[in-house]
Amino acid sequence: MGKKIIIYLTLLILITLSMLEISRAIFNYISQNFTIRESFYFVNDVNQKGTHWGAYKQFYPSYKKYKHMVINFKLTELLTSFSRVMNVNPANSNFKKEYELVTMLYDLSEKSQLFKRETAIYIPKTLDIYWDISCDSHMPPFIAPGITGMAMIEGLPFLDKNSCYTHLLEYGYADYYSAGKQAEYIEMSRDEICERAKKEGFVRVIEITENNEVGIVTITHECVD
Amino acid sequence: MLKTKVNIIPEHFAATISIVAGIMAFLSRLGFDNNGLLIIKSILISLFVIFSPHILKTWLIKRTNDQWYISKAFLLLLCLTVLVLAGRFSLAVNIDISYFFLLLGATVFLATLITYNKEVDVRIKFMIYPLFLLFAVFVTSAYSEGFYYHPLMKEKIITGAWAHREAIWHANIAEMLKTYGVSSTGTDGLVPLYYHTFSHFMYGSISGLLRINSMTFYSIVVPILFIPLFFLNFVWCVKEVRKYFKEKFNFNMVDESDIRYWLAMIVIFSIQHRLGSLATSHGTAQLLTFILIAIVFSAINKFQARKKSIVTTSDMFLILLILLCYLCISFSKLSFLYLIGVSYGYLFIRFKFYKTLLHSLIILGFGLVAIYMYIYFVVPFQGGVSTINYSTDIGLFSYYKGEVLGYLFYIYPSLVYIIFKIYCLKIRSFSVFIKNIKESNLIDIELLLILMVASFIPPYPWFIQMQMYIAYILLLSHLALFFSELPNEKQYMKT
Repeated sequence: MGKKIIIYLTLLILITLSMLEISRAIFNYISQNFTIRESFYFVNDVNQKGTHWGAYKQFYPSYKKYKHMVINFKLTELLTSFSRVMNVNPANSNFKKEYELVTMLYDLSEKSQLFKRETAIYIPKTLDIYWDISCDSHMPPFIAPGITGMAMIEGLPFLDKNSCYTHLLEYGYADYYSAGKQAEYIEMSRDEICERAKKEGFVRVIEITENNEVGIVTITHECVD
Repeated sequence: MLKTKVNIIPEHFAATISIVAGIMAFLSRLGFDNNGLLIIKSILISLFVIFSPHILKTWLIKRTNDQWYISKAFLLLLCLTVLVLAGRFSLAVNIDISYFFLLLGATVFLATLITYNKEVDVRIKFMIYPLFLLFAVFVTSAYSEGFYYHPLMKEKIITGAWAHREAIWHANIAEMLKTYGVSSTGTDGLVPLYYHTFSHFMYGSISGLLRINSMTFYSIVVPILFIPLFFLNFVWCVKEVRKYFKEKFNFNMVDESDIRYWLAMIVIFSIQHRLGSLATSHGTAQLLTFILIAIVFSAINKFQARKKSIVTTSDMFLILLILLCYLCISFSKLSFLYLIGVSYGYLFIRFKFYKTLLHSLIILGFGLVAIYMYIYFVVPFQGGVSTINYSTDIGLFSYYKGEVLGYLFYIYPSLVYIIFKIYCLKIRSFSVFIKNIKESNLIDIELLLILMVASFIPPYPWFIQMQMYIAYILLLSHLALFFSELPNEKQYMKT
């Protein structure tokens, strides 16, 4: 009898724990979705976006708020928030320039492999929308190659820039520094771009920059003699 | 207990995860640009990989039944290889061939569905499918834990909503491998990155087949395509290991048609999991390890059934396959090279495998893979100061002191298994325990103990998960033995 009770009690505890963990994971997922949508209403400040301390002021409080709503089944509040976050328009939000830029990178990713193999991306450090997209100063260099499938030139970040996530030598940066490379230019001229492109074995460079009249633009530099 | 003629419940389990992950990705992106076609494509390609092994096996089994290559895990590996190669081909010639696989997936799925309906008791579905649904929602959600990956990845990047460097970095390497065939981050030209990048190569290639970038692949397609394969191979692994122990300890099977099997699996995975790391190299290494274990145990089971000790040509191919898997696993995650090497090394000495040619060739191959990886990856990796050296930066003693308590959360499944097994085998004294050790009846326990120690020795935190999954496989493969200890459940032991 005692053995029976212990066995069934253990099974009950295990199943309860399991259900709690499953619920937690599902609630987290829903809360994240709400928070990411709401983030379009956040203040667009480099020190208040990204990971670690960059997430303390806006991301975490919002995430906690939604998690609390979901866990406590506050359906009325959730529905109110739902209609708000479902109607978010990135092109008309506090992050419309970032939206424009990232959408442009997604469009570039659709170029053919042959084109990509010969092409590099250059984004001058003056384009704050790109370089200040996160409080982690070492994250932006991965965005353009990660989306477009094209390598960058002069894409290493400046080491003196404040960052919410350290690990400044990890993620392959040490390999670049060991190869004698480092961030040099704030902005490069066409000749400098092409000189670097040739050195790296690319025949063209797509420069992504900001134009006061049009907004974010791409300039293609053909670097063949 | 309900029985099926042809057991493809694991395939249906994986298909459920794939479909649910697809639906969740679609729902998550409502209101933003939503690529429904990509989701349908991914689901159908996933169904192609999930169900093709069954179709192929049904066809092959008519010709031979005693060869390792009819194991579903091997056939799935072939399908995955076809996908990767098709991706490379699609990228090279710039032609979209994904629709061919989409059609194949739909055909294979429908063909299997029609046959399955004729063969399986309807009652099973009503009991098990709600559990599959729950588990599918759970694993898809758990993939996004830790804020690394989410179907709203593009939006995360735009607003900086906890878009972590790590997640973008993996997509970055996959894209560089895809475009230039070079392992690099491409931040300033293509400086080589000495890092285990097999998973990036695989993901990059398949994203090429789907004509999407790796960022989209990691955030949307991985839960649809790779998480189901991860669990499918896990279940196949359990199945093969169970067959082996069933013969050894003479217990009946608790197979996939038993609802308690799935309940146990859900409990095990939900209480302690690291599903957030499935997209990274670790997930690929673990998936390939499951495939390797399933193939090896299938071969052992077939070998025992053959009752002949003659080494055939197919056995030699098996050795080659094992070595190739070991190489790919090591390329996916270097820690697995060490852990699999240690495990096999232990068995090699323990069972005096050095007396047989087959095993001597395997250990020689393992040695060559280890030397290659050390020279071409470990040495340049350390030279490049690419990562924290935990032993010197934090201090070796402080590291172990800090890790020891947390380590208990990883080894408790192993400890539970060891205690359960000793209890169920009625080992009540130390002398009986030693006797069983000498008779190699507790080799699984020995191996777990070795893994527990070996995982803890390297001063890096990413060595500790593998033994946890091995413990899960052993726990689930011994369910019948454990159930036999429950009141009124003696039918699990053969008389």
